[in-house]
Amino acid sequence: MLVVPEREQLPVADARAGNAEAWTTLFRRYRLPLYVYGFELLRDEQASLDLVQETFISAFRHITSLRDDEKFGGWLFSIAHQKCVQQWRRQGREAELREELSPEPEAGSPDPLDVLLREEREAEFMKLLEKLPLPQRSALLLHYIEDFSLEEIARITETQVGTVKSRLHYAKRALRKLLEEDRL
Amino acid sequence: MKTPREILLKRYRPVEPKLDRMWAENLATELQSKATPARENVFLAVGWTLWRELVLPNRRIWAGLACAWLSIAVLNLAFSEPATKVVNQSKPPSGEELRALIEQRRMLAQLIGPLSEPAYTLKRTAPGPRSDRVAQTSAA
Repeated sequence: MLVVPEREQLPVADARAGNAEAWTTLFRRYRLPLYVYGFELLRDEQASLDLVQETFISAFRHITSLRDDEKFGGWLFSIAHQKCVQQWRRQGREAELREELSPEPEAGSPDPLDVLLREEREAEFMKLLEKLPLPQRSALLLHYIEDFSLEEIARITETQVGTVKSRLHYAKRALRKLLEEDRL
Repeated sequence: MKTPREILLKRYRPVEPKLDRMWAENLATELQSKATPARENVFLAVGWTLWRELVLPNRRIWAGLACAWLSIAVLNLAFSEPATKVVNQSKPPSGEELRALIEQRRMLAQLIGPLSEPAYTLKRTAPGPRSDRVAQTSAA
């Protein structure tokens, strides 16, 4: 029962035609999710603001290359993700991008992300998110913020669907511990 | 109780005014410049779009062009002759050619009369000894 935005009708075609109002609508819709994604990965306010700006400038310039208007959100996040990776490389954090994960996650475990968190657990949740390795954090954020499918997350992060599955599994396992503590 | 999405968005909501200011100051201007292209640039933009959409991603076109250039290069190498020095030699006219020329001039003179000679011609002669010139003037 993840509460996510419905697949709303976005004025992507109008934006492609250069309609400023359509771009304003798109900006208002995605400014905060993009910022959250950027900040949680870069941990720097100015870099995150720059990320939102550069992502939208890139989107203005290359909107004609977007084939499917329905995929605007995923396309926008893939631009932002590429810029995050560039930033990590500039910061010499490439090692954090590599991870040792077993390819197949265990099956049948309940999904702890579909539950609600108590207010007093919010800070712990944010701390836990910060502790996750970058690839897992990235996959989890994309899952939380926009409820992207495994395929969409794989496309955005330029990885295999199986890898995304593993990353989400390990991230969820870490979160499950927090939730179990919450129940006690 | 909140969803992870709600927690995340709520936490960063205070940054929204900054994002809006950034939109007004930088992005709206960038968009304005892109949204209203100059009339003369429209053809350029259409051409560029066609190039980018039709030609650039089409591997067949690039493969065809590569083949064409390759075959031109091969043909050029196969049929080119070794470079030879062409020396432009002007041969002196042979005796027969001279005779034919004289004959032609004679026939022309018979048909249209004698060719008018130039009023005077400059004779370039090598200067003689100074003593000879003095003798000629004194005789005159």
